[in-house]
Amino acid sequence: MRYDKGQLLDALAREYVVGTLKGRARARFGRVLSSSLVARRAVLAWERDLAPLARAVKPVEPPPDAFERIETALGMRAARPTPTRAVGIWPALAAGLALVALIFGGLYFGQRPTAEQATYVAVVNDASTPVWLIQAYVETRAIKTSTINPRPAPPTNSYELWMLQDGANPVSLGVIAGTGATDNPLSDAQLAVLMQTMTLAVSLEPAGGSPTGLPTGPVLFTAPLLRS
Amino acid sequence: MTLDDTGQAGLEQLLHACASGDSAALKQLYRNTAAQLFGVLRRILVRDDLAQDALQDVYVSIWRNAKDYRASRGAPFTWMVSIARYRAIDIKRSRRREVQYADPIDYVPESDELADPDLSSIAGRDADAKRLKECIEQLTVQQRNAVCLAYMNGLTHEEVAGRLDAPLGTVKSWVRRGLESLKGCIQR
Repeated sequence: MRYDKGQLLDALAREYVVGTLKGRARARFGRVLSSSLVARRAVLAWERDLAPLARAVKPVEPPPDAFERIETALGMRAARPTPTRAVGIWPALAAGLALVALIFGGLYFGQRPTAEQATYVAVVNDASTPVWLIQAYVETRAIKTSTINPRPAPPTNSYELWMLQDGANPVSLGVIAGTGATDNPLSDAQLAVLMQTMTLAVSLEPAGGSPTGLPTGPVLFTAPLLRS
Repeated sequence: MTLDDTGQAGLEQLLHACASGDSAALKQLYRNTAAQLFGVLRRILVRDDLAQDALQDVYVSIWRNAKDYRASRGAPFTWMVSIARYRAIDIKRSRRREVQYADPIDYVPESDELADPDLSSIAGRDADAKRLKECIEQLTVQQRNAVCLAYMNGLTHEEVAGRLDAPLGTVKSWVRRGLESLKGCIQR
C-alpha cells in the first residue's frame, strides 16, 4: 500500500491519532511513522489540533502512592519488600542467604583479586541450547552478558533482560545483544532487587528496549539466577 | 496546581531537565500534569487499576524519551498527552472485553446540548477551551457525540456505532467529518 498520497496519508494519520485505526493497520502505520517524515508531520498536526479535546477531560487526582511506583520502576527508589505471606518464608530465607552471600562475597572480594568472580550467574537456554551466559558482578557493579550461541534479534527489535519479582513488576537490567557480549551497569536499586531475584527473563522489545519500563513484547526465555 | 498555572514554557523546561537526568524535575512535572493525564487515562480505560498501570508506563516513557522531545514535536502537553492516549488505547484494545464490560459511562445524548459532561464544564477555563467549545458547538449533535466517544473514550468505530445505535458507515462519516471541521475551526 502507498502511504505517501496526501489525502490517504492524512486520513490514516487522523485515524491513528484518534485511535480508530486498529490492529494490523495501526501497527503498519506505526512502522511507516518511524521512516516517513511526511507521515510524522501529518500525525503531529492532528495531535496538535485535537489536544484541546484531551485538555477538556476532567482532571482526576491519581492515588498518593502512584509517583512512588514510577520512581521504583525507574530504579530511583528500591522496590518495597513484598509482604510476607504464609508461604513466603522461602523467598525471605533466600533473600537472607543472598545477603549473607553478598556480605561474605564482599569480604572475599575485598582482597581485590585481579579478576573479580561473578557473584550471580544464569544461563539462558532456548530449549536445550544455551544462548546467553549472564554474570552479575557486585563489586564492580556490572552485568556481563556473553552469547554462547548467537541469536541475532530482528532488525526492528532488541532483547531486554529482566528480574522477575514475586508480587511486583519486573525490573529491567537493560538491553542485551543477540551476538557478542554486552556490559550493562548495575545500579544500587537494581542490586537491591537482584538480591531478591530468583528468576531472570528475556523479552523481545522494540529496538532500543521497552518504551514503557515494563516488558511489552513476548517473554522468550526465563532462567534461574544462581549464586556462583 | 493545574496545567494552566505552569504553562507550556514551564513544562518544556522540566522536560529538558528530565532529559539531563534531573529526578526532581520529573517529580515537578508529575505534580503539574498527573491529574490531567490520569483523567485522560481513566476516561479511556474506565478501570482504576488499568489507569494506574498506564500512568506508571506513561511517566516512565516520558522520562526515558525526554531527550527526544523537541519543540518541533509539538507543545509539551500535546506530546505528553499523546503518549498517554496511545498507551491507553493499546491497553484498551488488548483487554477489550473487560474494559467494555466495566464501562459505566452511559450517556447517549438526544438533545442539542453539550451532552458530554466534561465538555459542558470547560467553558471559561481559558482561551483555548473557549475556542474549543465554540468549535464543538459548530458540529452536529451526532458528529459531536461520535467524536467524543472515539477521541475521549477511546472507542473504535464499531463500539461508537453500538453505543449510538447507528450504522457503522454513518458513524465513520460522523467521526471523519466531525474531526475535519474541528481541525479546521481550531486552526482558524
